[in-house]
Amino acid sequence: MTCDDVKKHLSAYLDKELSGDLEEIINGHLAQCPACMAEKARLAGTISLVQNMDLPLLKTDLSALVMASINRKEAVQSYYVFNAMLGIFAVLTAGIAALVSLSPLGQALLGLIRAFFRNIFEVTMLMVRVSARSPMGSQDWSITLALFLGFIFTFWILRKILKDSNLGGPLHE
Amino acid sequence: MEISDVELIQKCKQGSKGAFEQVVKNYQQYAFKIAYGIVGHDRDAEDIVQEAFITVYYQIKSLRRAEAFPTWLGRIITNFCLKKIQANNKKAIVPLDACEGREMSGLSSEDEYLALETKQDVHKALLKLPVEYRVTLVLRDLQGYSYKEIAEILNIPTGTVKSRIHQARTILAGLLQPPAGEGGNKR
Repeated sequence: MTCDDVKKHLSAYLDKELSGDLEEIINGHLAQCPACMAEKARLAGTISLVQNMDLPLLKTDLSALVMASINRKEAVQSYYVFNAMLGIFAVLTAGIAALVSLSPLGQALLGLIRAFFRNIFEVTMLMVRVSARSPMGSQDWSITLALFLGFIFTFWILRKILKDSNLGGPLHE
Repeated sequence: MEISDVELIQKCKQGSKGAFEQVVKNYQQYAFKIAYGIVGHDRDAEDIVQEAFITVYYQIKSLRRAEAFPTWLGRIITNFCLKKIQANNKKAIVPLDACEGREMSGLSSEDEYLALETKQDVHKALLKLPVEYRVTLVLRDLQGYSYKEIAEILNIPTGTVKSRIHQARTILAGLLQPPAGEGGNKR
């Protein structure tokens, strides 16, 4: 083994990381080669300098900072999870609503809702007109209320009849 | 690794924050020593240690053997150091040619003299090494890991570890122990 070959293994030799056979060969070479012995001493000196160099210690206890960061991160994560779930819920609701409104049954349902509100509006307007012309005076809101309830009842009966007769469709479509 | 540490790691794997806080207390100096050895700045090393422990908290369930925790932590710290060096763009990767000479760029002749005189400034010389050599040497000479363990931490073959350590020491020897008649007496 040449000096160059030996020098390549010197660090591992000093770290006791060589196989038994190779270590024996290096031992034999070092015993009769002053140049390689000097190189070994130089490397050993370097190892000692590195192992004994002064490194500062951590001055502050980082555990509280680390735990605070983790807690903050978890709070942010749960906020995002909540928002994401809310978003998913909104999208799903909108999707279901869109599907329902596009289906024939959904169309019928929407028509019914529309008709309901339109009728309420018309009944209210009618009541206002009737109460304004009432001989008992426009201030008597008890007549208005009675008329309103009467119309609501009529509307409900009408709906029931329509439903029972399987006519299905919305009132004003 | 003490038995109590193994128990603490097991508790951490089950999600105990109290156990994790104790693990941070027990291992922060160890982690800081690796980080400081590689990056060479207090502040950066502290940031790395904090970030590494946060990562450890979220990934500790993936650690199979609690006994392997120090090696695993060493790997995480090392990866954060490499990222930090890249992010800071600190010219950490010095071309080999530059290292082989004994010129310590960035240091005055006074500093160069001191670098050969004081223990503390051995670290300045260490920081002149190419980052991959420095990392390997820190893990070997400061932390005492075997070549096999270093290979696991850095995810490289053992032969590469052996070669890097030898190269690093040779360069460092050139920086710290110049042959007689050169360097050291520049005043």
